[in-house]
Amino acid sequence: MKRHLFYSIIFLLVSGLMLNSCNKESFELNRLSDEIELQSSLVAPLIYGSMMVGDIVELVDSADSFYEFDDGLIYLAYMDTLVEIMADTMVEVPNKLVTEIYIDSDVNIPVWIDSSPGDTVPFYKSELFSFTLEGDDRVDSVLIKGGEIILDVMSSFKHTGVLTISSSQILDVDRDTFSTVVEISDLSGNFTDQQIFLSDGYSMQSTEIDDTSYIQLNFKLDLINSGNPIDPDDVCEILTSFENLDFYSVFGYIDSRDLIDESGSVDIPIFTDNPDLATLIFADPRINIYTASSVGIPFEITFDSVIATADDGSTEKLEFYEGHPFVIAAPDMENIGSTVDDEININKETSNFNELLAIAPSTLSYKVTGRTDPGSGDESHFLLDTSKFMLAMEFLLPLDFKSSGFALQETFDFEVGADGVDTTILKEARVSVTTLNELPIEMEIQVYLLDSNRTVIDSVFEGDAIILGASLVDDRGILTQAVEETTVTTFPVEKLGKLQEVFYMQFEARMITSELGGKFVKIYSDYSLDFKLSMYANFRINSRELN
Amino acid sequence: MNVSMKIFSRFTFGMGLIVCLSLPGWSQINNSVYFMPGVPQANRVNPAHQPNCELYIGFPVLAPMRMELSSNSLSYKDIIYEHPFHDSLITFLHPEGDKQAFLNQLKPLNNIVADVRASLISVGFNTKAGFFTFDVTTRVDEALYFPEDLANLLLKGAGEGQTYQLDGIGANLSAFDELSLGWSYSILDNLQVGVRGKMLFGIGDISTMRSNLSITTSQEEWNIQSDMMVSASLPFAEVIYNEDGMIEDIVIDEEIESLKPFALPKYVFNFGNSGFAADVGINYRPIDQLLLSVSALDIGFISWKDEVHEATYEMAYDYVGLELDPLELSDDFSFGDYIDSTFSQMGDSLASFLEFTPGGTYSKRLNTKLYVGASYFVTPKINFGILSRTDFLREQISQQFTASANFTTGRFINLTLSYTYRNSYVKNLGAGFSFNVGPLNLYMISDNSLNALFWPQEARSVNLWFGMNLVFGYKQFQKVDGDRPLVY
Repeated sequence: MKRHLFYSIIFLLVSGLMLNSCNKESFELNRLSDEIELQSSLVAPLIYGSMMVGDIVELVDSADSFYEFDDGLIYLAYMDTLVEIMADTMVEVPNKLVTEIYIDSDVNIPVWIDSSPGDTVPFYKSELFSFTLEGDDRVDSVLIKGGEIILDVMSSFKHTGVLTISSSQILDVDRDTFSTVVEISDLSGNFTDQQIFLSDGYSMQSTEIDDTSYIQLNFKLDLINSGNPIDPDDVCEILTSFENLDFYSVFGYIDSRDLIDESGSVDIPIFTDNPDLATLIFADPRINIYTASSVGIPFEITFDSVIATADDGSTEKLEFYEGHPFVIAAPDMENIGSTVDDEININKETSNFNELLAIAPSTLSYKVTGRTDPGSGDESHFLLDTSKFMLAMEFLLPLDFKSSGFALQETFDFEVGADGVDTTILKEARVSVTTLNELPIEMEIQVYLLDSNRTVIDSVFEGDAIILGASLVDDRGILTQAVEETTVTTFPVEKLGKLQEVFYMQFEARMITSELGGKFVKIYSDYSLDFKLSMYANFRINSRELN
Repeated sequence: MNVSMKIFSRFTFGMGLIVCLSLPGWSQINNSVYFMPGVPQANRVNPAHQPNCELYIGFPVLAPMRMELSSNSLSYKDIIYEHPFHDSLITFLHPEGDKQAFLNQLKPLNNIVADVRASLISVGFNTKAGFFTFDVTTRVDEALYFPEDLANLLLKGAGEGQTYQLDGIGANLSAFDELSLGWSYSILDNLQVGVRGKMLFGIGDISTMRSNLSITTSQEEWNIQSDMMVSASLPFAEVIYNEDGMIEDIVIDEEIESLKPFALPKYVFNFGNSGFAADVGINYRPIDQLLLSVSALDIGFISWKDEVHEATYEMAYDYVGLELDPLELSDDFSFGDYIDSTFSQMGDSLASFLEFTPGGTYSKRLNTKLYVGASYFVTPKINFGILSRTDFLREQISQQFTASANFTTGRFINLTLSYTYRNSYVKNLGAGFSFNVGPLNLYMISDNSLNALFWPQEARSVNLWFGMNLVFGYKQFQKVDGDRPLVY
């Protein structure tokens, strides 16, 4: 029994070993191939982001030409200041007034003759001196800025006395009537005196007599009888001078006169850079004339010639249908010191502005003239020393437009690097681009790959360009619904291999506004283009193909 | 070599060290030994078992030398096989390899388990108070876990709308010394009980304490959910942290790193990492021909306290792509710069979830095993047995069934043939023998030695139990109706 059992076991073991010898080659690891290959795929989100129109505009607006209205509507504007004049160049106010009066032998009046030594006898005299501007200008009042009032008094009377000079039309800084006294204390007949008053803050209110403005000065000489006689040549001479006058304000009437005669031009580079934009039809293109006046005189502005000139030399003259010349409002007496801003819109309703845009102008030349008081009938004018009249022109294109097709093209540097994409590993990539477009513009995009000579070697998107649908807008052209699009682009290994040669990418976009360009659309700064890129990639990694 | 590579290499060295501590032999309990007559160390499987002698003394290291390497899903032929057209071998990763066939073999959670045990001292002796055993064993328990979805992710890639459940991924590596004292006693003529108490001294450990990880991939989003925690006790290394709390360097004991002899002994019987465990067993013979038995091994734990470090990685991360503002790009900040910058930020962000905590303690239970067996004695020399073995691993429960035929000729030779169903593999044919020449006892047993001979490419596990003892006071087996059972 033992022997049988023992032999049975030995038999089994020997049989197993014999069988095992048949499998031995399966364990000969020196025959094992070291080649390893993995073929796998990978899905992954790549990048995502959002671009706001306002941010895009800010980035590309190197010329600082894009702005936005309070509601966020973006507009393109090119501005130029046409006229800027100060009050002191409008009206010439005399800086010196002089009047001289004499109190002489007229004093030998019975009262003096009957007086006894020691008696005081008053003598009165008034003098009007004119305060005139030019032409038919009229000055009602002036608030004096700087200067002096100089009184030179000389008396040859051999009497003492008191000379009082006053004017109810001259007010000092305290708004008190101007009055001053000169003590004549010299009996020798050689009395002289000079008084100087700083006139800053003084005001003068004129009286109009026969279309001439006058200021009246009053003189009172209290002569104390010294017992000496009065010779026929005795006189008290008073020279009144207003020197170095300037003014804070002048009230009155400034007669109509030509003040403005300017010419110049405004550059409009947008059309030079993108002539295709001439195909855009803008809903509300404008030339805005901005005025700012703190001069209390109405103006009338005339644009003698506004001519648009394109790069090809073609020109188009702006014709006004209505409202021209333009009367510029001025602050009234209730708003002295304030500035009245006014805006005049020259648009396609009031002019042939669309015809100017149609030639894709690169410059807009102009000649502007202006005159005061275009016959408003109001003769209450004023000027302040700070009064200014400013006239500016703005060529303005609100991004409210429609187009059945315009194109933009831009070339960027793009280098993957000398190593390119490792096509020994990456065999195919499918990039999915999902966009959520709030822009009411359908974009047909193609990206070309260029070599170092800027020669096109391939396009990113096979066949037709990818299309990003336009958002939906209401009748006012305002966004109602963004549009989401997903485009899948396949990059086979052949195309991935070309990336090594790429030095530039040329981006081309053909754009059509919503509803095939049949509706005006507005572009607001908060419109965004959200994008999301994800990838499906096929890899094949073979150990023998790796470097 | 950069810092991370340096740390990685040292970490790898540390892991390797734990694994190498298993030398000189790979060993683990096999099932065939359960019913194997004439093997003194069979009481390792069932503490109630009393060897058929008065005294045995195991040869150091060889009493026993045991090895097992197993996978619950993969065999050699799933990884390496003949080229379909050429005279060469290829792996499943070869262009002509069948990756899908490889994936088909995988279970939701796969493991590679290796246990290593070497007994330095193994002594047993019989007294009136019962049979006593004393063993000193160095053990290394190793288990690597990888989910099926990890292989799917690596081999097929990240698919649209796929969720890859990577729960359970990780490794558990423990090296420890076991000092055990066993006692078996016959309470009744037909009832034996046994118990073995064990003191455990941890040498080193790396344990995946929590492993919840999933990755969902799509073109829209990648979602990563992670709740991972790894604890380690590395008494033979100094882990240096930087100001940010990240590991800056791992300095392995120089003597260990230079593999100097006698470097290891200072890490054995490390009271800093102590634990306790117990084995229990019962043999019951309701009738003379039938023996029923139950044993549970490794009921216990080790409390790891020495040079403990904890790493956690808890996060819920949604990756929806790199946010790009094209308007920020310029000549000074190109797209390439942006990608570099963003990936760097993303890497930092992902790394920020990784937290290291030095110090602390953790407990880790041993992989408990439960045996339930029955054997029927046709004659005193021949019996047939069936055995159920359940392994309670950290992440899984592993079940095996073994049937065996056991023969004894008396003292000289004992034989066993076994069949085991394990890891969904049905062709496990095992055999074992035990010889006694004078006091010298020699045995070699395996659960799958025969299929290793007949179908070696299909084997999902290999185990071998080899031992050499000096046996004294050998008892002749009794008649079937005698006092002692044949195999216990």
